[in-house]
Amino acid sequence: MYMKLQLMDIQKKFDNQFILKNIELQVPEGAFTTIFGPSGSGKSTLLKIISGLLEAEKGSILLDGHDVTYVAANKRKISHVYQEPFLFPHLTVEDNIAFGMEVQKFPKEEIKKKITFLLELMQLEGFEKRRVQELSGGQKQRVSIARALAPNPSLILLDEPFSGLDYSLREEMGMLLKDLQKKLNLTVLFVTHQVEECLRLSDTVILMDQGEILQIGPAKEVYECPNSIKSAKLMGKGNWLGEDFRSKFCEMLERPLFIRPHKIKLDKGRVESQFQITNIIEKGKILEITAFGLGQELIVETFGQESWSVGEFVHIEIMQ
Amino acid sequence: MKKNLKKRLKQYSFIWFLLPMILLFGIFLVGGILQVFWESMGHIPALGMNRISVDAYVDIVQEPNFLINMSFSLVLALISASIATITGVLIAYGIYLSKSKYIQVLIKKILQMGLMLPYLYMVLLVILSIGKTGFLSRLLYQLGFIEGIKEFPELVYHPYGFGIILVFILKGAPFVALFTLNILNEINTGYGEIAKTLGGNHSSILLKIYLPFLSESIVWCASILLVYQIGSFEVPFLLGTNEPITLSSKLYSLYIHSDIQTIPKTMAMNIIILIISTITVFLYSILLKTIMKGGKNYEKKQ
Amino acid sequence: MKKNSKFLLLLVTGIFVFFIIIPFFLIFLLSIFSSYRYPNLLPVGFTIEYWKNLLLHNSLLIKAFSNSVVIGLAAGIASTIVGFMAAKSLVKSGWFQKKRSLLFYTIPLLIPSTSLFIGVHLMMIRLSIANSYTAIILTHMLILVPYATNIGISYFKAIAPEIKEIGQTLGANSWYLFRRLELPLLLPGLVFSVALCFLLSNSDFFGTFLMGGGSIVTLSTLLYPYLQNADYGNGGTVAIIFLVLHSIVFYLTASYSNQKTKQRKYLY
Repeated sequence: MYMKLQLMDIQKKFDNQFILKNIELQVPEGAFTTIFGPSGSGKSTLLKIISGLLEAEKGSILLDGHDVTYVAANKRKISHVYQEPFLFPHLTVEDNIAFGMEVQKFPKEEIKKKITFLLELMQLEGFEKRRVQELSGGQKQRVSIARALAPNPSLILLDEPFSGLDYSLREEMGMLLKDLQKKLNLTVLFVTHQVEECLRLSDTVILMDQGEILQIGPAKEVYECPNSIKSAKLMGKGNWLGEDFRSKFCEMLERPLFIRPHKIKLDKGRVESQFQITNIIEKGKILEITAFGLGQELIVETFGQESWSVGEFVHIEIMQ
Repeated sequence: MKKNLKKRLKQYSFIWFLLPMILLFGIFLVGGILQVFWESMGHIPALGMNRISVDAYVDIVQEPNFLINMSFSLVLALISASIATITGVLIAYGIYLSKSKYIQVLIKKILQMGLMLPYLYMVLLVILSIGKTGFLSRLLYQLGFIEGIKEFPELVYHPYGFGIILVFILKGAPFVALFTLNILNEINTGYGEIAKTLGGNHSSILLKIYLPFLSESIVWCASILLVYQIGSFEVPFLLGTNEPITLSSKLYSLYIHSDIQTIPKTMAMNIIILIISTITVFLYSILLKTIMKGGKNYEKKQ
Repeated sequence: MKKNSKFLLLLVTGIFVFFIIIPFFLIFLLSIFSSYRYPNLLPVGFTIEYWKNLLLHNSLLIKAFSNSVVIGLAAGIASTIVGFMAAKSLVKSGWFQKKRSLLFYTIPLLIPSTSLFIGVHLMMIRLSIANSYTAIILTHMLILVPYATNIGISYFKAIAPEIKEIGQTLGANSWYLFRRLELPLLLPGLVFSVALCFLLSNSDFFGTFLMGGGSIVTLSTLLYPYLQNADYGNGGTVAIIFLVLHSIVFYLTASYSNQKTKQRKYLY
């Protein structure tokens, strides 16, 4: 696969504290790559280094195989979308989108065509002359994405672009972005700290914490087969399986040592079943059940069609 | 290394933007004060005076009326700056609390009008309204409250400087009010609402919640008013009596009617005013800050 | 609370009417009536002598008017440029948050003006530019730059750094960023600052009088001797012209900035 962006040994300090430590990563062309990590993990700093707004102390950045480490931000052709839309308040929707193309001296007809095209993609037909103050939050963010896409950037960075929006809108915008990425074959580097969003959208996930990359891999793999306890915890609850458990479920031996709660199925059991329910937490539609057996605790997520009670003995089945 | 230096220079390039201001202040403000200082010491080479002495200062301080005039200047300025500040803050808070947009806009317009009028203009307005032959006096006569011009008190050219204080307040209060209102509008209303739910009334909310937030800007406003009033010569000159006379008015007449002999004395007077006003403003601002913070330290909202 | 705000309105309007509206009306009347004897409430003896005198025979008025406009505009524009430059540097470096910086750029306001201007006058004589427009404009700038800087800081602060960063990633160099983003966003502030400085410059009497050496007349210096001699007829005419000029500038600016507030209110 052709690598659009390669980072080599990137390092950044603020006040003598490491924000980024020896970051090495690659972003394949035409893929949706996500950097996942909690707030304060250095994700935003990394994005700013990639787009050239910040300078790293060490390391180099290759874009399309060329070293751009010392190329200024306005020459890199990397667009940046922030959490807030930050539209230019004195310009109309149309002028906002045209900004990058005008700077880069696109021909007039092309600018016009591109604006119409992008507004249609963003489901904002007829908004050309609107003042940006009149738009809703979701519309603003769509304009800001259109503005970023307009000058044909070779890479587009999105720094938690939907976290300022309502939950339902967030989902919708995510789907829109994913569609767009596929349709236009965009190379996207996306930053988020929301597990669902990350899993739903990403091809590749880069797991980051405290300025370090913990794991890189396909989304499903990173979620289901974390390479360390730290990586596992970042994306939510899970179970580390002990010796006893694995020898009992011997057919599972080649499976990883780790299993997410929703991958375990509970069945009504008998006294000889090894697991007993110790706790039940209702989380909306989902029940989070803690069961004890084989010398360890097991967290299980299940839809609440069946009723369970504390003290009940249960069977465990692991889903493929 | 070279690259590093270049980067550094670029990083701090914005300092050059301060240069015009620094030049302006440096040449005329600092340069001017230094010049005044040298001349006050009797060092004026252009006039062949090369000695250095503090005689001029001694002369001024030993003048019989110096202390009276100084106290008059300071008391006048302190009273009018304080009243203007308090009035201004109260008006601003009133506008801030007022729910009616109409009232807010109307009072703001009035205040802007007051701010816009020059001091000279305000002098004229005060003479015409409460002067001995002013509108109030005529009105009272027409209504039969007074029998003649003699019964109406001398308010404007009062030896205690009543007219001067009034002009300063009429000009100062709108300045403080508009400035405070600007800051108030930036403060999150949440603080006041929380306090209200905890049972604070409007005056205690003002004292305990808003004043600490506002204290810095209020102190700044009040200090600027105070200095202006110490330094203004035209208002006391037009509305004052011959005795006592404010230091600035005195300085003005010394400077305008100066001959070679009195130059050092004029300049010494200048330096003395400068020192007195600096000390006064410094103490005044500390006092104000202490009063407003009520001894407590509140974190300023950023 | 409603009662309180009504009371406030009443009080402020009362003071306003008593000290500003009524006397202003009187000034107007005094400029068209010749006699105002005690205890008449209103002046009598209609005359247009004062206006005729001022407009037709007093060549100083035209001069004073144009001088006021020229000096006010020049000082306003120059102060705004200097002040906004300083503001940019203070905001970019983060120094504006420190109290010392406020002390630094408002220092001319913390020195009594009579003392300050005498010092400045000595410098002007030394640089042999006393009694000139340059001297008056530079002196006014000393007082106006702090105000312009203050306005500049609040406008620069309101521009989120991300706005410029996005412009940068879209390919704009710093000149383009300034021309297309920063300048249009600052424009209301620039207009406001020039207008305020214009009004303040025109209101100054002492600096103008001292630096102009009496040879450069403005509306302020024209008004002063009339006040000193209690010549309210001639003083009134000058005062009215003065007020009309100021009101026009003031309300033009106010209506301009009203149009722009929508933009300011938007969180960028």
